[in-house]
Amino acid sequence: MRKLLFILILNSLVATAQNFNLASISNGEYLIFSAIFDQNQKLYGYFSLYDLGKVNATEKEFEFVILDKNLNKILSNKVVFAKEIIYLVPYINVDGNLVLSPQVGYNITKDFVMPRSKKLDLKTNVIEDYIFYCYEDNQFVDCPENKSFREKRAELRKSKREKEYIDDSDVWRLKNNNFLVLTKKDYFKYTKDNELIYFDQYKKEMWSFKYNLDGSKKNTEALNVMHYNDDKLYAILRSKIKEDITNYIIIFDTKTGTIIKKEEVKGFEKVTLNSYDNSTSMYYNNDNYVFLFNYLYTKSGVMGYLTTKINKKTNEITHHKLEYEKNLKNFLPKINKLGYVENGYYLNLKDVFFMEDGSIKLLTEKFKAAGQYNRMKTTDMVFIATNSNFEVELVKTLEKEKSKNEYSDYMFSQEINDKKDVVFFYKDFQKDDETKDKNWFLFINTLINGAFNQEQVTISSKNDKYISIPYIAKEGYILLREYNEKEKYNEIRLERLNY
Amino acid sequence: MLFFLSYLMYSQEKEYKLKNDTIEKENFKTYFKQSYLDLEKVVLPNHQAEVKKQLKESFANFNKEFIEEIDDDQFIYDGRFLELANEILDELKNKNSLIPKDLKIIISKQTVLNAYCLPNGILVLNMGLFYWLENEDQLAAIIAHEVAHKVLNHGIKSQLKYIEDNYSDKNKKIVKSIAKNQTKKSDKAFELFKSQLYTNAKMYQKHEYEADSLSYSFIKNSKFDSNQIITSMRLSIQYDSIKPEGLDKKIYKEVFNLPLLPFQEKWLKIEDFSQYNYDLYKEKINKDSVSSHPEMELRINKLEKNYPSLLGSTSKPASFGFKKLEKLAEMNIVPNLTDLENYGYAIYVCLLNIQRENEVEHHKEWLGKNFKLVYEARKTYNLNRYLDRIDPKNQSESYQQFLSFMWNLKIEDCKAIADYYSTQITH
Repeated sequence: MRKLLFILILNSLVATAQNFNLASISNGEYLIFSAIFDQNQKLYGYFSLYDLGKVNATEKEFEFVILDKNLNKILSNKVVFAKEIIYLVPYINVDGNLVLSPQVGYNITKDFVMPRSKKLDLKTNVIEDYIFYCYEDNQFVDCPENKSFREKRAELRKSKREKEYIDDSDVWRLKNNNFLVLTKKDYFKYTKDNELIYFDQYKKEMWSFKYNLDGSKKNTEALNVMHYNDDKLYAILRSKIKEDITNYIIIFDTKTGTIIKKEEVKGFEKVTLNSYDNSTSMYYNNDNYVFLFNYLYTKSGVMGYLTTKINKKTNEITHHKLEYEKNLKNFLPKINKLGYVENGYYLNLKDVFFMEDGSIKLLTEKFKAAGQYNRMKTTDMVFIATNSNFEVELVKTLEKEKSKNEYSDYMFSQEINDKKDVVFFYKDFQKDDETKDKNWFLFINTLINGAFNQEQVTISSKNDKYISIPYIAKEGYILLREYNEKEKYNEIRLERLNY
Repeated sequence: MLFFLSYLMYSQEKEYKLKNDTIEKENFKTYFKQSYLDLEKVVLPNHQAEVKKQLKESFANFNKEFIEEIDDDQFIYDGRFLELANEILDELKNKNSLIPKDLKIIISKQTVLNAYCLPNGILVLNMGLFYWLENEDQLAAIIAHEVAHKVLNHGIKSQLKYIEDNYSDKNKKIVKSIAKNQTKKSDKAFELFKSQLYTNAKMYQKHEYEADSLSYSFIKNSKFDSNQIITSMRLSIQYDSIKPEGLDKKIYKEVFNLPLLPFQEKWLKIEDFSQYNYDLYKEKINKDSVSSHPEMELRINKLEKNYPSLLGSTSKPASFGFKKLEKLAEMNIVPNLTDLENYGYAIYVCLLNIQRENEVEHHKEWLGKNFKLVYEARKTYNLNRYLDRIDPKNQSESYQQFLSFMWNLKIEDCKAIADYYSTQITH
């Protein structure tokens, strides 16, 4: 029941009752309320979306309202998309425009053509198609309209019949208005002659880096860009020969393309190296470091975490691993080598905080997957603080009631104090020892100057008939959508955090 | 000497303290409930089943909300205000046979210049009227206007129109047919919704003109000066244009530089909202066109045209009794704002008065009380209930500065300020 209540309310963060009356029909169907972040991951404001229904046989209209970071209305507008689009995801692009990216459900046909995103100028409220750049025949062109799955498949078949390979490319517009282009010859079963090309804002080529020159079915090289700034570009080159993968960290001079450093990743076993940079790896950077973080894949399974840290000033590259059993046993005596802590519960990673001093803090939650006869369950949060060598300094078990059928009680986190510190939030449904009533609590956890602190706030009450749903807000604040029988308290609030 | 001074202050505070009579409150609650039951007996038999059902429901809802307000102590039962207000009402009743005998006045703690009359004959006068109006004749004008609404049965008429719009068979059919539309149903619904709002707004505006005319005759028949009708309307225009403003930055440094907590410049830092263009937002429905009240200037023009003997704007000194009530209302602005949980605005008013050197001790005491409440609200993450967020488009610079200051404080700063001003003033 409590889960149902939470989901119901979460789904209608700002929705009003959909009665069968004129006002509700004219408002349309409420779809989403979502935060909008700028390119620096700073909260710009909020986006509220409504479906106004079909405007003709093939299209439907959406209405949206943009609010500022204090929930004041900035603008509203309408936009028409194909009827298959179920909602829009908003984000701010490098030009500071709001891009509305259409999302489809499962019921689309092979003839469906994904419409272009729309671009909204936040200074003028003018909407137009958002046309991406493509790179063809050594020049930038506007990307053509999308094609349907059926058309794309037919084209691919034709290419395979007629050509040995096709030229393929990806274009990224960078925060500094420059461009990165990755080109390759796609031989359908492998790629070859890949090239990373760096262009300035006027689309003038500055430098390029060629790799995978001998690409074949057995030998391939792949390049992933971890981070760039005006001075350096950090990348991982993954070189695969048969089943063995060698990873190289490459630091380029962004202005000239000169390789400042190229270093092979060593010190891990073969299985770990093969999965060093895979779909679960994440890149992060702050003022001082560039990080790669991933699970520690081994022959026996995932045995912990690994990290690579590049010092932005000295270019020093260090690799570290944290093994569940070896490094956490002192703090969690029951932990085994695969991260299981008790009765089928294992440490499920929820968030990772990369600090300016190069240390990493991990937030995990004890989680038990659903079995044939059991629902999934979660219990305590476990906070693991490591130092700049990824050595465990502190493990704090944040006790929490058992949540059944709930994937997680973790909510979200926020960087504070110029990204030096962090605050994270989770919820828990607890019973009051005296009244025996069960209510929701919000736990606000701060890590400031390395010191952990926790605050507990009641966010629901059976007696007072209210429930508040927390949501992400501007730095130092939290948004609380309160549903209260008392009309005067039935509102969205922005509350300052007490750190 | 010191003892004498503090005794004097204590007795003054006592004089200005409003009576909080729980028996009166309970009596009023009983009266309120009964008056709605009586109203139902009179109104419901005249209508068909569906309308009857809806009216009953809306009465019940309103009853519940109003009782909540009574329970929340939003009203006061202090004889000093009631005495004068009832004297005025009696004079109007005695001179105008149209006015029903069973009207009852209640005083709300609200500080804004406003009053309203409920269909059950409860006339609510905001305490703000006693502060913002200049004399009892103006108060009589306001009371007469609200009584006129009751005499003309405007409350019930408006409710019936709402029911017709939403629940009549005819309208239900229209809404159903719109909902069945395959395309553009939202546009169609909006057009009809808008036209209903505009039609209703016209009806409400007509009600205002009717109440203006009738109240003029009520005043004319009484001892009160009818010219004060226009003056009170002009005051209302003035009042509506008032925004919280006028607080000097200096005052923060004076009031919040405490021995244990020196003033910090960073408290005055204002958050940057320059990236937003607020002019882009357009309401879908023109607010003026759906306002229930026509522009006050238009109402004044109409009254002056219909009753040429009315003098544009005349001043009249207040009686000694009204002046005393004016002071009583003034001294209760901050306590009332506090009771109404508007702690932020209460602190703003305290600072304005300290800046103007008006009743400084009284306002410092309430500054402390409100900071204590702000501190408690910060602890439970509820402060935004009681303190506004910054809204750059609609707030004065001074108010934005104030809100920035309040939100910039750390929770321990709020506590230190609350402690300082609570211990400074001890009676």
